[in-house]
Amino acid sequence: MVLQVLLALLVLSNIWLYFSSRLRIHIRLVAFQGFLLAALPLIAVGHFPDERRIGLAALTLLVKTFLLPALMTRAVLRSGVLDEPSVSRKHIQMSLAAVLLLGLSVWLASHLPAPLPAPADRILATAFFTLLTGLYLCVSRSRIPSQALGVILMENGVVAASLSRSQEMPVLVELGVLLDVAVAVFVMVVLIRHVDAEFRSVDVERLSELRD
Amino acid sequence: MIAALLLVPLVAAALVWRLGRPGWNCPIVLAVAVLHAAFTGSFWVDDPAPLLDGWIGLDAVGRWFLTATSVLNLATAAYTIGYLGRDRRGDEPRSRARFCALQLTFLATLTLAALCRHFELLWIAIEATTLASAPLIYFHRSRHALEATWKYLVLCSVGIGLALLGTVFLGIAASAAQGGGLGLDALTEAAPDMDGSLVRLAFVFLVVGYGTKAGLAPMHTWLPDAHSEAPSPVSALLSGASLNCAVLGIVRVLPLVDASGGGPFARGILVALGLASLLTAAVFTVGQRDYKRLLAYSSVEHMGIVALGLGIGGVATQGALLHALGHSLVKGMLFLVSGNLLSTFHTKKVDEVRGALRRRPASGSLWLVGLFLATGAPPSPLFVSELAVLKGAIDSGQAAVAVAFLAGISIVFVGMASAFLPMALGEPSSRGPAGLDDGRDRRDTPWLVVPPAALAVALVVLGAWLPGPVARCLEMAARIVTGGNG
Repeated sequence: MVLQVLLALLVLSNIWLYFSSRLRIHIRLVAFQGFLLAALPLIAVGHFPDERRIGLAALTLLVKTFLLPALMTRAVLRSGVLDEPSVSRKHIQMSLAAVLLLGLSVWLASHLPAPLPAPADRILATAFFTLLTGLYLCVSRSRIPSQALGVILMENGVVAASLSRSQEMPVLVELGVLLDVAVAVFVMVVLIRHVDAEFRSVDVERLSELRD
Repeated sequence: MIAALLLVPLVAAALVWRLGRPGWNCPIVLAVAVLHAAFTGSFWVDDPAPLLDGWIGLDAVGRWFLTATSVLNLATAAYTIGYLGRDRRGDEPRSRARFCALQLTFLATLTLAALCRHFELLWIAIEATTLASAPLIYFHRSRHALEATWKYLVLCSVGIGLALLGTVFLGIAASAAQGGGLGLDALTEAAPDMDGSLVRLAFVFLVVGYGTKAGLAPMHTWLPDAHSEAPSPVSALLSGASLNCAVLGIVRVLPLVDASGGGPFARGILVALGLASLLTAAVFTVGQRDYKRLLAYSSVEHMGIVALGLGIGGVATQGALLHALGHSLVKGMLFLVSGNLLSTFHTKKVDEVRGALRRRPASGSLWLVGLFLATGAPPSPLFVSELAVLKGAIDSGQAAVAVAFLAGISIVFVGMASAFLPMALGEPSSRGPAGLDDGRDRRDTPWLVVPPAALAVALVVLGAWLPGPVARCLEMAARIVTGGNG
């Protein structure tokens, strides 16, 4: 039951991302997903988690819900650009994208070559939707911070997908993945600051001078 | 020993970062490179003990790729001394320290990737190579460098995200078959019992993900930008070492797909991607006006040939592995020489560089030699490897692939020669290049010439004669990749 609620919240947070045109809301939603991803592994194991798993969840919470969103918020506030114009007044387009990608995720998860037992199939559908939402943010949004959020979302999706395995990821590996994501976001935040200073803009289209 | 190989660059990076003595930075990088090469050399004599239950260890494939990285890194580290000595940003103590520390971290991540025998760990290592190298591309703080860095980081992160999904699918298939983890040994054992269609799905995501990082077309779009905007020693490492390390991700999964019955499917995808890369490179090298982008497209071509060789299998697998090694050395060499040309002529435009041979005889000659080595003219090892790939294609009855392959490499040769020859042999412009009056001596120094020259010598030797242990390692590595069927 708790697992279903967490998955539903993850889906809802993704859907909200399609319709919001405010970057700070996006960051809060990604932070909320961080909380869900810290909680999901503890619920998904089906028994009382050991202390290493609890420690890992605490670390995930710290990094994904507090540290990375705080870094992103600072970068966005510093640039002074708080909106995402590619969303404004495009509600029909966004609804279509959300419905199509959600449908695709459910279809993909239920048509795997080797069907997974419940609840792994639901976890996988949610994970696909998160990943595809991230991919959609990367390719469709016009602000650079949105692309960075898209990358975080994609990684959230893959981490969620890994919960559908009957075997847990080793703690060392999870730590490594978390560290990679944290460093990736840190480097992106530094670059966003430089892009803002250099181009006086954080629009993706400004970064299109290099070509053959 | 393996732990030392990983820890020495990291400790040195921390030391360089904190030391505050700019004069020591480059010598530390070089000392670490020498030590790294010495350790790697010793692994040819004695197999090192594995770490972490065999998750980190050295097999023939790892030894092959690790050696390529180590040799290239040694040349690059020596070149960096000359490069930073004449670079304006290299004068700033903080920038220099940052550059050297990141270069050392990059080496550590590349080393880890070569040593990984566990799929999730390999993913972590390959993503880490992206993160360590991205700030290096932005070293010169130009708009274009910033754009290239952003594209590199976002596209590779997206790609590598898909590779992680592929890894998860591999994990699902593995846990259903054997209940074990994603260690290479356990997977190899369980592969015949794994669900073939699930492994094929995993392969698709892995090849798209790691293929993005390896610069396979059509996922290569970040590569020409990043390789042309990065400082030359970084371009050398990005092209020569980091592309190969992504190829390693594909090389590791190939025998598993084979064993689970998906061999023809996986090999078909690799042949298609290989040909697409080769033909994309052919289109973009002809008439290319930027010589660093030209080198970048030549990398796309080389990666295409590697994918093609892996896809064809049989004798072409050895060709693919030899090509990866040759690519490492030759592209490292050419990117280092391109740095000398850039600092002499102060332009990356092919049309504005003329008479390099007369103005800078050493760099000019290396540029010319590099053209023939990179395009696979004898005695380059790339000649041998391309011949093996061709033979593999003909032996397996794929005549159309062989024709497309020959057409692709011929067009790339024409494209590269029509740019390289006038650059080296043309009449030097009477008007000096603009923007060079900063009082710096831009003549070729030994630090700038000996490293690429040494790589050229190594290439010629390898092309003419493959020493016994090297040939044996190549054979063993190919046998691992083909799952013992090669």
